[in-house]
Amino acid sequence: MTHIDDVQTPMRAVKTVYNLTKLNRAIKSGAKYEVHLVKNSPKLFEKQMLLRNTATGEIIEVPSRLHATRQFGITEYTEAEWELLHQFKRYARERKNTVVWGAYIIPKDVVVGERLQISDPLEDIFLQEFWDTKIYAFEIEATWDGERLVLDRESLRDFVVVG
Amino acid sequence: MLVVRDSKIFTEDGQYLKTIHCPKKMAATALERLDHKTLHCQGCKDVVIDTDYLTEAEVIAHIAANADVCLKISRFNPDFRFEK
Repeated sequence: MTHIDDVQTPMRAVKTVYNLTKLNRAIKSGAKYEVHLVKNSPKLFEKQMLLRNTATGEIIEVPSRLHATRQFGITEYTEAEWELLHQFKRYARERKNTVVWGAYIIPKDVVVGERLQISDPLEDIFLQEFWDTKIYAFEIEATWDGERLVLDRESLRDFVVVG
Repeated sequence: MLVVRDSKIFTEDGQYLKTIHCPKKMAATALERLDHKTLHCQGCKDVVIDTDYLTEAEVIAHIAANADVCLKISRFNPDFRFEK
């Protein structure tokens, strides 16, 4: 029979806030906090092209003229058939461009060494590219060292296996 | 759907296919791309099959043809379910 001590409790959450009202309310309640500037990652820019079919006028958006999909394999969008309208980069993580800082609200009774779950990281961390989409860490675990949160980047490494 | 449990790949109905194991512990980022379905491994000078663009049947066929085939598998691949 499983003993209650054998069942891991879920990690407590670190909440992310983006405005002073919520931050000051948390400070007033005694919560610990960290304020950070939002940090983008240069690895999260996706190259895209807008192409127009010279015969039909149809416009498509693709990452490159030689583009692989599972359904069709390699598809080539030749210059003769598809004229380039624009080439651009798009950032993989959507955020309001007015958001430049945020704060982590940490449980006030956090203990040294406690692992916590940050479900909305202020730093954009590139994980991998899959099907031409750059994927970033939606959440990350962190440890409270007594003064600050130490993000566990190692836990994000295992998204591709080889063997 | 293929199931990965304890580094072993199974079919949905539980048939064992292969164990994911790299003796050189190569990271996917160290592999050199040959085309959208294959990569080259500098560690063992062999070809690694990139499963990102393979169907489930194609993955099974690769393993059936060579039980020691080396695969690169993304946890974001919807054809694989990773279990602890």
